[in-house]
Amino acid sequence: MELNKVQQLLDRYFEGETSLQEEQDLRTYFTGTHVAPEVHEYVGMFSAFAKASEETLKVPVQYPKPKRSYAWLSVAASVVIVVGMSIFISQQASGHDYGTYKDPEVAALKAKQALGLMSQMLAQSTDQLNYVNEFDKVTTKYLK
Amino acid sequence: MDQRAFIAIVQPFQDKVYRVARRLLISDDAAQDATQEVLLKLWKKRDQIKKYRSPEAFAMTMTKNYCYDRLKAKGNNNLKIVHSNYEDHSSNTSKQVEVSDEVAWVFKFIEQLPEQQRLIIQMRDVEQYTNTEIAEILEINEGAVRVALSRARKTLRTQLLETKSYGIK
Repeated sequence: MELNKVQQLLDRYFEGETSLQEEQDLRTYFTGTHVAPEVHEYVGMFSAFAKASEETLKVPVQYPKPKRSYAWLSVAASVVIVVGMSIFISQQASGHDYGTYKDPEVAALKAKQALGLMSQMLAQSTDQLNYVNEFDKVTTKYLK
Repeated sequence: MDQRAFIAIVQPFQDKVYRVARRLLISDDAAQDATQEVLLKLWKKRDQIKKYRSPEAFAMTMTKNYCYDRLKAKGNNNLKIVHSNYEDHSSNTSKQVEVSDEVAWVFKFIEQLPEQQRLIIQMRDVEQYTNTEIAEILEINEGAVRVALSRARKTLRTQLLETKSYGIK
C-alpha cells in the first residue's frame, strides 16, 4: 500500500470511519515487513490488536455431567405392581375353591363319618371319666 | 439440545468471550472464571438460544453484563492488574524487541481506558465486529459506538506517541 493511502486510511481510522475491510488492510500493512518510517509509530498499535486476537482459552469449559434419569425406574416399578396385582386378582377370581363337596350325598356321608369319629372320641374320653366317679363314690362314703 | 450440539454452537466464539472478559477484568484467572460462568449460564438457557438471532451476540451481552457486575462488585479488589506476559517469542531481532515493547505499552494503555471504550476497542479492533453488532451487544446506539471508538483510538495514539517521544528524550 502507498504511504499516501495509508495516511488517508489512518486519518479516517482515528475518526472511526473506516470499514472493517479497511481496518483489516491497515492491520495487514502494519504487521507486515514493509512499513514506511513516516508511519512506523502505529506498528505497535496494530501489532497489539493482532496479538490480542490470538489469545485463547487454555482451560476447557466444564459443563455439568448429564444427570442420569431415574424416571424409567418408577415406570418399571408401577408396571411390576400392576402386573403382580392382576395376576393375584385373576387367580382369586378363577379359583372359587372352598374345599367343599359338590355332591350332597357324598357331603352327607362325609359329614356323618366326621361326626361319628367325633362322637367316638367323645365316648372314649367319657369312659376315662368313670374313674373320677369312683373317687366320688369313695369320698361321699366318708363325708356324709 | 444435547451437550454436543451446544458445544458445536459455542465453540466458534468461546475464545472471543474469553478475550473480551480478559480485556475487561484484566486478570487471566478472572477471565477464565467469567468464560466458565457465561457458558454455563448459556447452557442453562439453551432452550432459548434459538430465539436469538445470533447466539454469539447473546453470549457477548452476557459476558459484558457479567464483567460489569464483577467490576462493580465490592470484592473486585482482587482484580488488580496482574502483570501480563505480552512478550513476543516469534522473532528476536532487535527491531522486533522494540515492537514487542510497544505492544506491551498498547496493552497497558488499553487497560487504562474507561470500561466501555476498552470493550469497544476489543470488539472492533481485535474481534472485528461491526458497529451494528457492537451496538446490539452493548445495548447502545451505533453513533455512540463510533464516537467511543474514535475517542479510544485517539487516546491510544496520543499515549503511544507521548511514550515514544519520552523514550527519545
